[in-house]
Amino acid sequence: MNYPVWQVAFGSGWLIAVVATLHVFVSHFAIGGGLFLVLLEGSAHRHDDEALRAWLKRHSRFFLLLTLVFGALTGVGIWFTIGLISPEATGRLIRIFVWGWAIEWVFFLVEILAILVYYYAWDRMETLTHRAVGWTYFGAAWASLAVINGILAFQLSPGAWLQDRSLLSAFFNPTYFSSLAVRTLVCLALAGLYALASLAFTRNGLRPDLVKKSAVWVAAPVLLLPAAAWWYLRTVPALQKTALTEVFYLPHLARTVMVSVSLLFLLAAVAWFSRSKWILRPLSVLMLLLGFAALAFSEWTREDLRMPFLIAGDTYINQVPVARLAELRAKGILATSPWVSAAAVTPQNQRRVGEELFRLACSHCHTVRKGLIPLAPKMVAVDETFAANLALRTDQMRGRMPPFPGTAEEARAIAHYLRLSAMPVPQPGDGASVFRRRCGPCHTVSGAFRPLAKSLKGMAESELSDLVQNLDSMNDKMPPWTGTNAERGALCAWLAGQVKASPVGGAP
Amino acid sequence: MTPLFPADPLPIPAPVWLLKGLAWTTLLLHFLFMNVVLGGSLLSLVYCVKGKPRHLEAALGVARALPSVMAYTITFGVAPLLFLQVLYGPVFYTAAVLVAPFFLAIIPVLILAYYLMYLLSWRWDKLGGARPVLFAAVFALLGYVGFTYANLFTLVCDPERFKPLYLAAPSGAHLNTAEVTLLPRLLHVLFGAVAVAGLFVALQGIRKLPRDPEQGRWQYRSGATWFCGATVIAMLVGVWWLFALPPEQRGLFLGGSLLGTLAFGVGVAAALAALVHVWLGINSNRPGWMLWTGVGALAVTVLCMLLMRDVLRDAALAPYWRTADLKVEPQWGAILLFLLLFVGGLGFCFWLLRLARRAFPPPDLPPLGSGGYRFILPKGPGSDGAKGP
Repeated sequence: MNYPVWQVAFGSGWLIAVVATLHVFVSHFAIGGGLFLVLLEGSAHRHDDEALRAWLKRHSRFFLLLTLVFGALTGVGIWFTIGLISPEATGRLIRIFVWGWAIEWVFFLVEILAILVYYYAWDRMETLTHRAVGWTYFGAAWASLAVINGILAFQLSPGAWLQDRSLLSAFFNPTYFSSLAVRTLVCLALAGLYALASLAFTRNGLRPDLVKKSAVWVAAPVLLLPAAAWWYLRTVPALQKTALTEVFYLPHLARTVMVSVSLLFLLAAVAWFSRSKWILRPLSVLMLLLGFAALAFSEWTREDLRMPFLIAGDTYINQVPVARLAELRAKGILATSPWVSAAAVTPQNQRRVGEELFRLACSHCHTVRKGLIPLAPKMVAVDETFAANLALRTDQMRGRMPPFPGTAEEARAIAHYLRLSAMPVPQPGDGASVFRRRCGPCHTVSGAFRPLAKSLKGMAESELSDLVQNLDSMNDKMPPWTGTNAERGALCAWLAGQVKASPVGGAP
Repeated sequence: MTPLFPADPLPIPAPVWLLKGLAWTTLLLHFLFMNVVLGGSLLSLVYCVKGKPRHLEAALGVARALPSVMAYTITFGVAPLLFLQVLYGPVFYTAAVLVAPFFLAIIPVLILAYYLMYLLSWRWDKLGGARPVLFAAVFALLGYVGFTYANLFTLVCDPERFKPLYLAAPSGAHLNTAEVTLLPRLLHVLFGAVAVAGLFVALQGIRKLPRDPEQGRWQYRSGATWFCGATVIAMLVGVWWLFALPPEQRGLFLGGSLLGTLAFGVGVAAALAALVHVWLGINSNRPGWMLWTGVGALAVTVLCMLLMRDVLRDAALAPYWRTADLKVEPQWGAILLFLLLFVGGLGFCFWLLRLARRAFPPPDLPPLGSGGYRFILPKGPGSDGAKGP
């Protein structure tokens, strides 16, 4: 709450996702592609293959244009974007890792000069010297990955840093090496993917031997990726790993990644046999798209494993440092943040203040009506008291949300604002719909997330009705029932049937 | 009242002087490179519009260099931004949020400008009449970047306005165009960039002297003339900028702050020295030496300007944010590692530049000061070119 939150019409999460994915897809190629160039140049030298050298020179032009311009500037773009969207976490990361970034900058400095010399000095220096420049480029590029990987991995698994605050603990954190292995394999596979596209769209005749080599550059790392991913998942802290089962879309994302990677392997095998540009052109484009999808979805999965944090255990996604949460919950956002127009909620300012509070506490992941996970339609489907109770219990809900960082009055102001922001629509009164609106945010019947079937096993409809009527007497995390009697009746009838039909709740 | 920028409990990992020193050094290089690309695109546009072969030859020289200079403009721009975020993080991030869409648009704008530079550099012969249009586009795009940064960094110095601006429109669509110093600041930078680009063209002309004396001579004279003209205008605009500042800020450079006054004095003196050297270089028989000393004096001027910028910012922010108040816990091991790698990296850069120089050898130049240029110097009226040192 130390910073104003930039209001993005369609949700700020998309912005960082787009910029970061585009950058990662090019920047990893910038590393693997460098190795590809220098190794194949060696092969051209050994076999006195002038045609290969000529193609490598053309390929390096494409490489330079893509990586030096688009790759480098989207990297700066990520930095701009995270500074705008997550200034608290970015500021904290910079204070911890400024020397990591400074070291990465040194590698970047060398990398830029090396690739310029490498490209412009084709045919102007001895092959061995030229290759030495190429190796320098690759070495600097990979080293910059090795540095930035430490910072990225830290966000997911800060490990011992949370206790000892040591830079070494922060950098060589639990997922550092496994993440570096995954990323290095991705770099190599991308080098092959781009090379296939470059070969397919070259004006000269197709070189089957180069197509085969490039296909191997895709297939070999892709074959190793599952093992590296397994190692990575083993090193992910247990708390973060539970997101894979708790966040409903993450298993689908992970499956999409696995399918894309498997398809890539198969298509690389098809490419290995390709002899015609007319086959290789659509094939290489499809492979690039699959590679992009695999990378985008795996980055998305990694980001969401971190939920509800931006720096696990240190800073929540909504820019609240864990250490400040208790103070915020006690004093409230209005009393502690300068980026609001009033010091307290009043009946007169409730809507305006609610909007400001929503922006500060919720808009990192949500929009009001349209865009990224809109909340107004959900809030308008229930009464204001229940909506306020939901807002106050965000950490109990599915999707791994951070705790609400304010007071009950502030949660009610947000609910009030959201409910005024959408047109009320008649809500279906059947039991399943009531469950979805009033229980679904925090429970499933027999799913992975806080299932009810086991604890409700054997309860009659009337017992369920009593239970629902006195929800808040169960524990302080449960909100009181605020629905109508008709809703309660429909809910309990439906719930009793569902519990009975579920494997754990069914009749013996 | 809630403070605008609450103190961050995390310490900064280096002494302020070290972070500032690194920021100034890298920012100096960034400004020099940036001036070449910004001013170079404008100067080349003028050359292309004039259209004589010698003009086009000079514009081609700039076009060929633009992409590589741009690469280093960006690289040396990233480093000071990093150190700035350590020192002024909360102030910078908040101001950036206020201009967010304009700030973020810098990235696609730069990508487009960069690709247009490569188009000009690699497809020069095929572009024909499109060249001035492309140079104009590059200049306009880079001008947008400069304009946005000027808005952002003037806003950084005015935290009083942060909250009302944010509450009025949290979508960040604020520019700081009402700021009275904005226009002189922009014009000062623009004319400064033209001056530096003129010097760049002049240095390229000197490199051409042995191979193509006529073009080389014309080019260094033209570039130096642009430098002198633009520097004089930039100095006059600088006076306007100085008097546009609020009196208490202006006073910082007129005795109020030792560093500010020193930087102002040395900066003006160095600018005059650069002007005189380059002016004399126009008709000198040792133009290379004169121009390079001009470059040295210019670098001192730019360094002084950025020190003045720093003094101004610290004074404006004093009621809200003081770098001296930051909690410092240096990560000496990491600092040492950085310095070692930095030296190693510079070694690699030196090696790569040597290789590049060998791959692209300059034409043989007679030793500086040997009088070897006499045979190519103009002998027209008013020229002292035929006179020896």
